[in-house]
Amino acid sequence: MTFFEYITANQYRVLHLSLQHIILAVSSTAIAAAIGIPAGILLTRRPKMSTVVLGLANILQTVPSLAMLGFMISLPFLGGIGARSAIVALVVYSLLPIIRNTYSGITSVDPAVREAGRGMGMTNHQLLLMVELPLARGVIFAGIRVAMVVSIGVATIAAEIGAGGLGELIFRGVSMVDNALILAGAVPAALLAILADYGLGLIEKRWSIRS
Amino acid sequence: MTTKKIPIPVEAGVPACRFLIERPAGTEARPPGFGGRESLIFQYTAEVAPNPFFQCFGIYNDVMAVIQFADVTYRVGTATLVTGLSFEVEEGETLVLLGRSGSGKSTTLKLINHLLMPTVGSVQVNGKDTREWDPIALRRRIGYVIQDIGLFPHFSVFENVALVPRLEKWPAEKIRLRVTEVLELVDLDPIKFADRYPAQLSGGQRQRVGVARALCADPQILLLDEPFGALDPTTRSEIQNQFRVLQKQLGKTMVFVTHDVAEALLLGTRIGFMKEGKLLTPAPPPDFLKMDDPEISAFLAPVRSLLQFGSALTT
Repeated sequence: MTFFEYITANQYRVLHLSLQHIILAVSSTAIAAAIGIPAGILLTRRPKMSTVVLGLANILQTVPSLAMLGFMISLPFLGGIGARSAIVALVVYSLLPIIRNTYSGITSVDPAVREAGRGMGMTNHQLLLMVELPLARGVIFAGIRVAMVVSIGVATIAAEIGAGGLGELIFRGVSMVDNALILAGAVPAALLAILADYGLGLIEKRWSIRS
Repeated sequence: MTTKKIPIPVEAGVPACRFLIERPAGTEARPPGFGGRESLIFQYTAEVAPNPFFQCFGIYNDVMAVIQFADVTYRVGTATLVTGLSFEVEEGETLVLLGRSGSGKSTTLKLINHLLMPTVGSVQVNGKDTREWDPIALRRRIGYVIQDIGLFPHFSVFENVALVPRLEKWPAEKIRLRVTEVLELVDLDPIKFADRYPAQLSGGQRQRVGVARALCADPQILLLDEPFGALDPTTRSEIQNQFRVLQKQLGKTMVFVTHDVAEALLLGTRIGFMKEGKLLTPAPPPDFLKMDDPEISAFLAPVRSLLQFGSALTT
């Protein structure tokens, strides 16, 4: 059975796994953004903490993904077998690009613009919402885009700990030495990553502010 | 209502009937002829200058300086940026702070609008220590123009200019009218420019928008930090001349920082020379030219040689 035959014969299964894959990646990126953006903003207010926090996120990022997932299984409460611990692992991976980009996006706002805002009587809150975040949103979005692509990649491995997703096809194909099965998982996973990167890139471009 | 009436000596050539009247507490500072304070003026002038011809020259003035520095020093860590600053800025005057880069001019400016707090001494704005002012309220009453302009790149010209009124929650229609008014004041066609973004403007136009933005909420005080420094000489002199007209028209109290002597002489009612964080007593331009200080002479040298060159050309 060739790759195309397999896909057409099992389209619902591939579709189902793709959907699972997307849910894994999107939900973990969303959670990472919900944590990472406020964390990044906080770091700009506490510059001394930034080296520590960014360093820590950097270290977490370096842990090999399979090791991270294995570690998740042994983790109480958050870990174990299944999608939940996979999402936790993916969130850990997605945090670094989001925190880092939020931090650098805000700190790279033109100091003259910030001074003008403060000098005209903006409160810190207004400065953040009206000036810093709008000017940094392109960079922040770039971080989300990177996080999303990383998540889609790592999510293929998450099948190893029973989280589902397209990785299931790949791992089964490997153990059954079935190239069609491997490709049925690998090609959609690769397409997903490319599509996500391209699509989010388009949005990022529209969102960035040309100064 | 008690008022203190102090006749002040005035320079020769001006009718000797300008007087200083202390502003009654709780009243708004306004020149005579505005805001229904005429009766007070006439009552006063009739007393001191019985000749009715002179009465109309009575000048209603604030005894209180708008900005007052009392022995101000500002330090960051071990570096002392300004030291022992004591001076006053009176209502309606333009005090120019002149000096090299790093002489403490911008620091002095930032001490006024609470961007910096004095380490020693006190800065008073409208008779109130900046420490007691709510910094946000204070800054919204003070227009601020900086060299890099700092226009918000994601705001249109309209939104940039409307910023402070918007923060102050003016009604939309009032904001619209006011923005149109100030854009016309700085010689920018509102219809043409209101919807443009800073990136679509020339340097001179951006600078005008910066000035319009500072003027929009009609602040009593205007702080200008080398506002025309980044412009080419032709545009600069054009905008300086327009600014001079604006100065006369609006009568705002201004503190103007520059390193350009010509600009200082053109726009200042008094010039204070700063070096190494200290301020030499501010003097009106004619007196400033006579001041005996090696660094001032160094500053004036190019102007002097230009004048000599000019007179050599014409004779």
